[in-house]
Amino acid sequence: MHEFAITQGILDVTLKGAKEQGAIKINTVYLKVGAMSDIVDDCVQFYFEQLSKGTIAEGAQLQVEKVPARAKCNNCQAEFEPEEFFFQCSSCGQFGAQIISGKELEVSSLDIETEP
Amino acid sequence: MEIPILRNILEANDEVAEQNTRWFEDKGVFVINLMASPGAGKTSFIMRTIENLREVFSIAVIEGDLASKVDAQKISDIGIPAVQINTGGACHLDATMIKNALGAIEKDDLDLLIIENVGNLVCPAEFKIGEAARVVILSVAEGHDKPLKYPLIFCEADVLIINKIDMLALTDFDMEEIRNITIGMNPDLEIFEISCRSGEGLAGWYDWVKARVKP
Repeated sequence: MHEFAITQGILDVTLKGAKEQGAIKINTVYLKVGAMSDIVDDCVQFYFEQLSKGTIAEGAQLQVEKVPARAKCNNCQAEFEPEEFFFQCSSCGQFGAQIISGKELEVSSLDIETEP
Repeated sequence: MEIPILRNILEANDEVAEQNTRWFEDKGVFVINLMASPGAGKTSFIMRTIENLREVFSIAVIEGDLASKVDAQKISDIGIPAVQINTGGACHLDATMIKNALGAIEKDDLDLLIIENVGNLVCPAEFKIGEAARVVILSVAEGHDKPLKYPLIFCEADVLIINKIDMLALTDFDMEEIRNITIGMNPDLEIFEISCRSGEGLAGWYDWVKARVKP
């Protein structure tokens, strides 16, 4: 993962969403990160602290919710948890599946303060 | 107070990638995003592809490197339009870089655009740039276990080119093992075993391109 570009993306989405709600301060940014997206939390936190200086996101905490990988077998439609990007159905043994979850990389919500 | 956002972090890049895709589709250009480690053979592969298909298709190349015009110069020297993007510190191309480079391509009626991404098996996989196909090159000198170590790029690929097969006897590369590994990650992955140096195995790749590009 390229944490600098990811963090810039987090900040852009955060500030855009906060502005739409008339926020004057952002306390927490809640992220949803799938197991197959994976980011190095410490790197992102560091970059976020630098990039958010001078914005209403300065000082905000990042909270990451990890989403496990789940896939649906193309052959028998059973759902399973793939291990390490290996998409072999645990029910029928066939290869090939649709990814149901695990690739998320999103800002799910913000904790903000608005004008009193 | 808590407010829902539910927005993809890479939405800005994805939106530009969508714009690029529409531009390419409107103009009938098939776009390949070519990715690999440094030295795997991306530029050599492009040169071979051009050599074989330039009489059939109108081709241009976008080169991505941190610095220098070495690769774009090689392509220009054989009379094919090439645009060099220097990313400075960025280790991957993104959709905006491609969008900004399109105006510099001096070719009407383009059929095929090959984008040589920055040499890297990690970051390019994350960033859509508007391509129709993702082609990853792995050379036998790198080892057959790389899909296990860098899974995302091999999961996302449409084609895997295994290059430098003329060197197989000098390495421990296990062709059967890499196929066992990748079938679990990406069963639709098309694999071509080639040597850019000798030309062996490239006919299958040229047929793959001809089946998808409209002159």
